[in-house]
Amino acid sequence: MNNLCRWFDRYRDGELDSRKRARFEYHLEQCDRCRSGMTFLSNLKTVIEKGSVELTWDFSHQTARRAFEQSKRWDVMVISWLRPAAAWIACAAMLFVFSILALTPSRTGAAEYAEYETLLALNDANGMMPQAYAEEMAHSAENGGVNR
Amino acid sequence: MTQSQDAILVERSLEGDELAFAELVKRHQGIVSRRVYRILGKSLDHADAVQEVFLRVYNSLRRYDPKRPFEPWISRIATNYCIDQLRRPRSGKVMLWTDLEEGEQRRLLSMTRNGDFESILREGLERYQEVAMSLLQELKPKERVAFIMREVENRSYLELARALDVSELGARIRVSRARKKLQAKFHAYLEGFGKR
Repeated sequence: MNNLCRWFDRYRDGELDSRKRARFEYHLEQCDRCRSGMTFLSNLKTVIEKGSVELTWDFSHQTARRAFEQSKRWDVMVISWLRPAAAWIACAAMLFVFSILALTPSRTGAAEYAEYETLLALNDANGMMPQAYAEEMAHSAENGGVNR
Repeated sequence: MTQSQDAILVERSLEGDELAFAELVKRHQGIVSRRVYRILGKSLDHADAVQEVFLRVYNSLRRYDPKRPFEPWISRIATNYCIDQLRRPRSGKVMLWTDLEEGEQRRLLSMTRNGDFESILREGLERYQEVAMSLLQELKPKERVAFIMREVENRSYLELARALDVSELGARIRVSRARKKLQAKFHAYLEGFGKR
């Protein structure tokens, strides 16, 4: 592959300046792969461009009738009412869950007291419980875990 | 076709005027039909597919901004519909390269290579057309849409980017990939023939 082959897309898109375009056109004469690729794409374009399918003469009226009939169907109307309602319900549910999470203290006083007792049990034996920490935990447990 | 006429028809359609919507369909059915045909290929239910696009248009009319041109908006709906269809497994029979007889394959390749495809079209050989369309099945949905919009409809990369909801660079990459894949397939056919 010649390094000019990389200009293939830019040539096809008409994005090469006149000097580069002339160089690429000279390259096309030499490079069989680029030349046949270029011809192939042009022919493919022609084929696709020419193909078409005719619609019936009253297609537009049939389509409009179907669209209006569909919009009047009770199930479509119910779905169209429910769609925004479902979104509102989901938002309200999320707001409720977040409110509960935000208002509920992460740890209760009882839980902290249990931890305090566990620490006591673990550390008393080793005599490693710092006096200040023990006092803070005891105070916290008395106030329902608010100051931690 | 003016933008304001489209906007007026949209407004009247939203007020319940069925004839106004029929007029809107009539104005744009050509562009939608061509887009659907070029991307999805010829099928027995082509009219249903085009109708389905217009039903989506009708259901989205309230979201249309009358300050913007109607045609790109409706094209985008048509494109999205086609991408949705391409992502579904297809059951319809498609004419493939291998369905052609050897003589037909040789003739098609020779004409394609020598730039004489016009003669095939003059002869009205739909078989060849279907085969050419089936080549596009090698492409991923967005590559296929990008190829059609750029190569066949001469749309700018900016329009492609908007239609495909990708960056302009992304659109360029998809067109380039599509061209390479199609050429590779074509060269594989040529080489296959050379070995016979």
